[in-house]
Amino acid sequence: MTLLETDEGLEGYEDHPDVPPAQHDDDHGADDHDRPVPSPVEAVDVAQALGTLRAPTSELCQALHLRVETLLEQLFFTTLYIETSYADGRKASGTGFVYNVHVGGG
Amino acid sequence: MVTNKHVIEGAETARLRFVACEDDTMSAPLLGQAHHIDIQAPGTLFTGHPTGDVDVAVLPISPGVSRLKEHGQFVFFRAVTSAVSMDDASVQTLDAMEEVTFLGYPNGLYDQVNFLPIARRGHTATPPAVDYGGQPVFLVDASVFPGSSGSPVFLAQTGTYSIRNTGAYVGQRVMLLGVLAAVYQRTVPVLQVPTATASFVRDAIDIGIVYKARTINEAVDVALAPHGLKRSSEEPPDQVAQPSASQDPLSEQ
Repeated sequence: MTLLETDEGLEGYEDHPDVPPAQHDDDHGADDHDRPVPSPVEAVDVAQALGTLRAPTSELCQALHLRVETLLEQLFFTTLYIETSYADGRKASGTGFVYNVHVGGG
Repeated sequence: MVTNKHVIEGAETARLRFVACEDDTMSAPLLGQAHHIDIQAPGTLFTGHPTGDVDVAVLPISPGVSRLKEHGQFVFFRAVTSAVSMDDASVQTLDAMEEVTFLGYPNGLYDQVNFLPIARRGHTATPPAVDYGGQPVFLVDASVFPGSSGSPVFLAQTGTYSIRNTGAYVGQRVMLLGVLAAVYQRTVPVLQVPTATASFVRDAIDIGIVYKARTINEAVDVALAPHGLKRSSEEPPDQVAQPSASQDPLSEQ
C-alpha cells in the first residue's frame, strides 16, 4: 500500500505546473493590471494570504460560463486542488472537498 | 474541507484553489479563473481523525472563504452535506458491488484552463457495509494514482438504479461513500539486458483504499469539541437513500 502523494517520481507534476509563470505572486507582468489586487490583510487563523489565479487563455477567450445543474455536473465543483510545499523544496498535490455540517451548541 | 492527513502533514504551506464566481450568489462558475487561500503550516490547523492511522483530516474553510469575499473574490463550489454521507442506515441500501465515482487530480493532472478536476469511475471491491480488515475502510477497483489523495468517493446514479433488496427506480441518488487515501502496489522485477541483473519497480494494482464517510464526521466532532459545538442533523439521515428525481443533495454553502 502506498499513500497517494505526488511528492516524488512524478515528472508530470513538473511538466504541468499548476501556476503559469506569469501568475506567481512575485511576478508583476502586464496581466497584473487587470487582476483584482487584494488589499493587505491581517493574518487570520486559516487564510494567511489570498490571491487570484487566471488560466493562460482566459485573457483571450473571456471567462466561460457553465450552468451547473445536473447532479454529475455539480460533482465537478465539490473538490479543491491542494498544492503543498515543503522545507526541502519539494512540492506535492492532493485533493480536498468541501463538506458541510450543521452545528449547534454542545 | 476534507482531505487526508498525509496530504498536509509536514508541509510548510498549502494552497487551496477554488474556481471563481462572478458574485456571491454561486449561480455559475467563472471557468478560467480561480482564487486561492494560502495556509502556513497547514498541519497545525487541520484536525486529524482521533485514531492515528485513520488518514482523514478536516479544516474549517468558512473564515478563508469569507475573507475572500471581503476582497471581492467570490468562489464557486458545491458542498457535500452530511445528510448524503453513507451511514449505518444508508449503507443498507447498497449492494456488495456498486459503481463509484471519484474526482481529483491524479498525478497532478487537471484541466489547466478551466481548473476542473478529473472524474474517474470504478466499483467497490469489498462490500461497503463491511469494515475491510477491521478498519473503517472499503476497497475500490479503480485506477487510482498519486494526487488522488483526499478525493471524495461517491455513489452517483442517474437514470435507472437499484436499491438493495428493494427494486429498480428511475431518478437519481448521490451518496458520499468516503475519502480515497491510498492504493495497493506490487513490486515488479525488471530484467536489465545484457547485464542480466534485475531491478524492481512498484506498480499500482488498481485497488484503492477508501476511508468510510463516518470517519469524516468523527474528525469533525473532534474539531468542534473545543468550541463547545456539536453536529446537528438538518435532514433525515436516510433521505438520500430514497429515490428522488428532484432532490438536490448538494448545497451551495
